[in-house]
Amino acid sequence: MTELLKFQGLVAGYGQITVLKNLNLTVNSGEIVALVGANGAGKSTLLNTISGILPVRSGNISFDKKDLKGMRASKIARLGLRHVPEGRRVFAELSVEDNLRLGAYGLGRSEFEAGLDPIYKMFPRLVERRNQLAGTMSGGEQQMLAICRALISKPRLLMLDEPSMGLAPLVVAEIFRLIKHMRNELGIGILLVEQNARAALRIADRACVMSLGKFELEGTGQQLLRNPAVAEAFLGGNRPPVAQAV
Amino acid sequence: MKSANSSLRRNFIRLGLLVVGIAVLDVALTSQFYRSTLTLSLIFAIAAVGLTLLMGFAGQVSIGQGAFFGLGAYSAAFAIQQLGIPPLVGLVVAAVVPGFFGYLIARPILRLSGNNLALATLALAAVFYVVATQWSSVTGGIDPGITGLPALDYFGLSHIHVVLWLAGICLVICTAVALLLIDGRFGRALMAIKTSEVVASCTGVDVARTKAIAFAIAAAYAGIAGALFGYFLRAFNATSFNVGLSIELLMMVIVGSLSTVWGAIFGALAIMVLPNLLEGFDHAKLLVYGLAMVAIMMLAPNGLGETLAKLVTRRRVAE
Repeated sequence: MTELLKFQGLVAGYGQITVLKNLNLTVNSGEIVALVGANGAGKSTLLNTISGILPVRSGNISFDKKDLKGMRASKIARLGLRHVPEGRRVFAELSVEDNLRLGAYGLGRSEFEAGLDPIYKMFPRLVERRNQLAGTMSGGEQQMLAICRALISKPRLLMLDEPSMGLAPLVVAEIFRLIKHMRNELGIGILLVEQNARAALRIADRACVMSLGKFELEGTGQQLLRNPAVAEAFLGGNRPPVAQAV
Repeated sequence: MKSANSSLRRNFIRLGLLVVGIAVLDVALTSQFYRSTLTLSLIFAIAAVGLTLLMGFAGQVSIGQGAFFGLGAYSAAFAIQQLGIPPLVGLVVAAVVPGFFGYLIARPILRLSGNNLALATLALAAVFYVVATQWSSVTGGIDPGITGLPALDYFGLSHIHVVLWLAGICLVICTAVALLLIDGRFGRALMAIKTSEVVASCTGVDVARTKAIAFAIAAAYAGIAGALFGYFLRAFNATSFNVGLSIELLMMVIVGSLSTVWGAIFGALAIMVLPNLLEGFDHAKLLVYGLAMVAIMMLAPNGLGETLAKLVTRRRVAE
């Protein structure tokens, strides 16, 4: 495990409003770090700040020992830190393969073709639909495509914002299997933002509970799953089995 | 990938047909009037193809292309008359100068989007018109403007034939370049930006730079068109480059198509020929324009040309 992403005293926000208040975190290769928290806690803001869409106000942030402060979003993406934004935003008017081609933007043609093979092997469905317009696929397929579009560039760290949003349970299970596969087989570090806190904590190596722009609680996924405060807030109250475990 | 290549091949066959079409029209049109309408259509089509890249593919509205059109016309005239550069090289100057200014202006102006961008570019056109009328030491203002551009009578052909073919060749080259750009990485980046700038930057597209390059290309295309316009008339003044010109260029794209460069060529032809058909109704021209624009936006939001083309192919399939 090597240290990939690290930030200390991170502060960011919009206009006069400070959203992120002094956050510290490290994400290593081959581990899943989950961020859970209520709406408006600042989870997506944090991902947008890391990927350079929002500017860092103060604090230090580095990826693979390179300072990210003030770096352009497109350049950060090319370092191998990929962000899959909320709401499975595929390029609806482009074909599936062109979406993947854009994922490899900035890489050579041979690298794109080399990256395509494993992805098509993993998702044979995408092969069938390679010439179909991405916007005409089902929600689950679009989310898969959005993740694959980031995956094709062989990222070392992937930030997923609500990958299970609005999807059927079976599809959600498939997406979580994919996330585990990326960690176990590909050794990618994953920063996962999820509303589906229980599922996220189950697969997470470490997790943070975010509230009003701060990390309220940190621990391993299992610890937080058993924590009564977490259970109360996100997992549907103090159900007996959880209460007994504590 | 195979499909992309075959669509590129199909487009190059269409380019060949375009050349044949120009040749046939050149022979068939006996009246000087129709021949000059055709020449102007080809000239405006160049600017419209550039605007399609910017508006149709990158999703950035510009109502300021008239400024670059005028800048191209003045740059070429200045190069020929003051620097003694031959007219063919003047075309290069007319692409480079507006392209450069387009790139400079694009960085700040393309931070805006939607209606704000439309207004900012409209202001650009208005400011250019004022500068062109007032800076008479270079532009000649409104009277006399630029006069005495040389007649292009190469190879023993008359001026109008030479300009017609020059415009035709420039249109074919510009369209071919646009098609190649759209088919490649740059075109995909533009379409990504149109869908979502955030997601485009997350996939590694340098959004600000890509948009600025698209703006510069559209400006360069408008500049080439402007230079040809000047060559054709051999004398012009600032009134040619008022805000109405920018709106006409915009209409060509809207009438044609937002999703293919062929629409721009159709749109330019339609916008140039239509006023001639409405000869007697000159006072109502703007009214007809306005109504046509509203009707097209409501009934054929992808462009009139594209909608007509779809109707034709659908009927063919039905038969």
